[in-house]
Amino acid sequence: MQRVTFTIKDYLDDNPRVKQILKYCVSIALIIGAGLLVKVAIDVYTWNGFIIGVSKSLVNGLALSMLLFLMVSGFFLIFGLCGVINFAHGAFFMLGGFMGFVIYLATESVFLDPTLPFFLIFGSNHLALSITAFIVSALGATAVMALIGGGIEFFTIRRLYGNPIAQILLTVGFMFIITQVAELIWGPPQISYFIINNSQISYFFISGTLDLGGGMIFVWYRIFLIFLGLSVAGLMFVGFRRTRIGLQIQAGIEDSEMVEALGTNIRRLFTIVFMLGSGLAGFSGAVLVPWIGANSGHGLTYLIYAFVIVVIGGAHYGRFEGTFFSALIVGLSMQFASYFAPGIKDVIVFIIMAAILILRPGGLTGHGQ
Amino acid sequence: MDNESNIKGRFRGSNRTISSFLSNNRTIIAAVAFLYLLPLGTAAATSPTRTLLSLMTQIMIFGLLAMSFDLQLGRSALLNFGQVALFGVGAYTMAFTLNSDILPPPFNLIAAIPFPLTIIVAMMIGGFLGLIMGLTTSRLRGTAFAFIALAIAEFIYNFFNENPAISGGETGLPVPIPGIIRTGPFYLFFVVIAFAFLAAFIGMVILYLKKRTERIGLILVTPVMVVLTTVLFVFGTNILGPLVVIVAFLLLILLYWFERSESISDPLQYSKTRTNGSEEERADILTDYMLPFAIVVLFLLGVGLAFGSNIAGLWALWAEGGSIFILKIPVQYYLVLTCITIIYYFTRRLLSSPFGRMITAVAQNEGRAEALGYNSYHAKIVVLFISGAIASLAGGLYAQYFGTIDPNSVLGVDLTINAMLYTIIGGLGTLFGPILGAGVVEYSTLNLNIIFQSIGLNPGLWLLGLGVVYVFIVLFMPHGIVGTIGKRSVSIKDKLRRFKLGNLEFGLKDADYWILGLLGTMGFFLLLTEDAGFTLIITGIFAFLDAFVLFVVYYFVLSTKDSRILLSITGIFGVLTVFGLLQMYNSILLLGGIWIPLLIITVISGVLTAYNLVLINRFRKEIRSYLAGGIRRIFRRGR
Repeated sequence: MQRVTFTIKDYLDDNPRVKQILKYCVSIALIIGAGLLVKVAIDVYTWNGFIIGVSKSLVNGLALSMLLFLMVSGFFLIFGLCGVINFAHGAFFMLGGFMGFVIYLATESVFLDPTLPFFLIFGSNHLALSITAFIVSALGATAVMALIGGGIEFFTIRRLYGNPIAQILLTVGFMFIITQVAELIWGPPQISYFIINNSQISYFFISGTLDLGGGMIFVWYRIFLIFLGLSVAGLMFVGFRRTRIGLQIQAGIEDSEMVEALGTNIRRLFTIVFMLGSGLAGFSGAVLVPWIGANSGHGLTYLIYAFVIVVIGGAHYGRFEGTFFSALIVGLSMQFASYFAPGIKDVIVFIIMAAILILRPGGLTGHGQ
Repeated sequence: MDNESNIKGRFRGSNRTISSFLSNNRTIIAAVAFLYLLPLGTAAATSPTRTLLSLMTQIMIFGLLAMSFDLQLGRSALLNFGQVALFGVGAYTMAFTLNSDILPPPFNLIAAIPFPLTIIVAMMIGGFLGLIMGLTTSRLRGTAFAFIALAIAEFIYNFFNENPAISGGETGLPVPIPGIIRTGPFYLFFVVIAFAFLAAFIGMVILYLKKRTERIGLILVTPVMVVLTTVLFVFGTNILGPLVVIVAFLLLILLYWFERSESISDPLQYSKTRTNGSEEERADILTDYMLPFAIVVLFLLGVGLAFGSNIAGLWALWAEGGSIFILKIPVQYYLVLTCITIIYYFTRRLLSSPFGRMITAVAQNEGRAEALGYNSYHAKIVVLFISGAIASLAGGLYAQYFGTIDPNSVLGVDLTINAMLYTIIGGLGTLFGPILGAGVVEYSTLNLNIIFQSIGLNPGLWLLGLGVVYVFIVLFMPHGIVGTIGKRSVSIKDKLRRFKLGNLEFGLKDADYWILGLLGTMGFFLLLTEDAGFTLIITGIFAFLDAFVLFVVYYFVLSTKDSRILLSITGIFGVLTVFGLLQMYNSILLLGGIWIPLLIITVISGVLTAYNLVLINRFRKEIRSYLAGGIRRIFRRGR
């Protein structure tokens, strides 16, 4: 096997579409930057606040977009390979948040219980304890959601391939069921780690801040989220390039019939993709809970973001890079808009989506149908 | 048959066009006439029909929304995630035209438009919004269209959400009830329409019986007569009206016997009386003009007698009080019903026209349709305009019906998902399915918590129950309720055509299905309400079915020796009797006061129970041997 060296320039030359996307991104960034400059010209005296705003929204936006990418890549995989518009994906995300929360509390109480031998592992080192419990909760939520998603695919959706309308009804039904179960168990109000009194995590891990002086205070957790999201995204990227099953999935997104004809058990692949997708939703939900909390209403809100991101990135025959960049666009534009133009912070995403769809009906990477 | 009537139509002139119109739309006319009949039962005092009417109005409003969604997705393959924008624009237009204080001065001139015209204004604005949705993307395909529509819907939602001065914000915008809805003449106008529909209905029945002169024709019409008389019994104010209607029905049976004797008495004379040619066309004055006329007049007179005091009471209330609240519910029901009838008929005609065929062709295979020379862009734009107008109409009716609107309730994304659910549950591309789906979902939404409470579960589980219902519907009826039944209906129709009971051949034709449609509409109503009056109706239906089975058994089955038929007949009969008894028990519990129908039903059920017992006693040997054989078969299979 030849040794392949990976340079960015080679990669861009191999993928002209990614190059084009980068052009788009740069142009959008330029437009946003020009708007911001106008804003600065209008009120120069808030230069100080401007820097703070830009840096804060940059950090927040990057963190949000990484996590949105993790969630949406699950949605994208399911839609791209199986052709199922998974309306329950937002509900998976929401349930993943609750699962992470519950597993975290359980793990923490196990470690803190003096009657159990686990107490000896950490003793009074609460920082290490809370970090361990957090990792356990994220992995546990991923596993639980992967099992739920795989079960739903195995028992119900498997019968309905080829009938997209029935799939919509089915996944909407599961969205209702999951939302209602969550609301019955945990109630309608928002749950976050901050309101749990004995939780150790809020003191050591989440509410810690990085103070650069001059009002530039960043929450450590969000900086951590950026690197977490980037590393998981990179892991996925490499996985899809280097492993056999990842290549099969990518080929299946391009042409599933051909992959089946070449001897792949595509049904097994569908189940795996469903488990992977819902596991990613659960992971991002569990990791995002310390920031946005867990609420049974999150399902619908984040479902719409998932729609928008996938469509911007290219829904039909699209690629991962498109989803990644569109998640960046959406997360950054949301955070920037909420700092600098609160009037349009709810519609900025839709404005960008409409503009991109009018220019390129297939999204950033998709074929124009 | 149709060809023949067309040929006759050329000879007979214009009165044949009316009859062919009646014969071509039997189901619609029957169902709509029944729906128009219901609100006549509302009296000036509070009456239980009001709850039913308001539920029905709600269902029909959402049914209109779902119908417009179905027109896009089911007929022209346009998935529209921004459907709610069309609805919300209609609702806000209606609000602005009814209240001149909301909009700033130059725009509030729109409030000068009188009320029924504002519906048309709202439809126009919704249609133009649909047009804009279509024009923004030149190709109008797949996801791009769906999401640009979603973006437009979000812009509009955000615009209204950010401007609470004109949208009402969180608290909601009060929409005044238009003054004309509370006036007597407007109510009377709809009553006249109702009577016109009833006349069309009875005329349709007459024409049907004149064509269907086999024995089965009368047997099929009888349940309709029984149910209608029971409805008049329960809702009418006096016993005179139902009696006159019974006389009309007796005349109908007389007409049937005349026609029957004419058609089969002398086979050799058949060609003389029934030729297509003009030379021997014998105009029988009695059966062609006098009897039908008498039946129509008597039927309308009976209905008028039964509900006359209600109508007069409402009119008197208006005449005394000027403007009253109590007319609101029946008039709004009538308004929405009229709108949905017109829209349904219009859409049906549109879809069966050449243009509608072209839309379907474009939806099924756009490339091929374009290769055949059709302009798919044009077709989709027109569909978007029409369905935008329909959705906007639904929004306008919603605003004036509910009286308060806010951005979340008329422009929230969940309304689009709801419209999609109504459509998919009812059946995509079936046009009637969405209305049925809206009924099922709305009814479940309103009543699932009550049902859960009554069986001892947590009433908060209702949304969970709804989700489970969706999952089961999609697993067992993947094409929706109407769609799945429609897919299987070919074999069902074939079975019904060959269906036989003993010596009696049923042989259902296409022309007979309006009876099933009418009975289905009534059954839907029975589902919708736990009203005491409807308990009586269902009791009446069961009593009638008992009597009918008794008739069949008596005439046709006792002569056969096939124990299977005997057993199944006896089984059906027993189940029906048990149901009848249960219903009787229910009605005794619910209303001790109305004793005349109660007495009749009690007597009928008692006699039937006694007869059933006698029948079971007589066939006990056959039943025992059949049951023993069945059990033996089950055990053998188990081994």
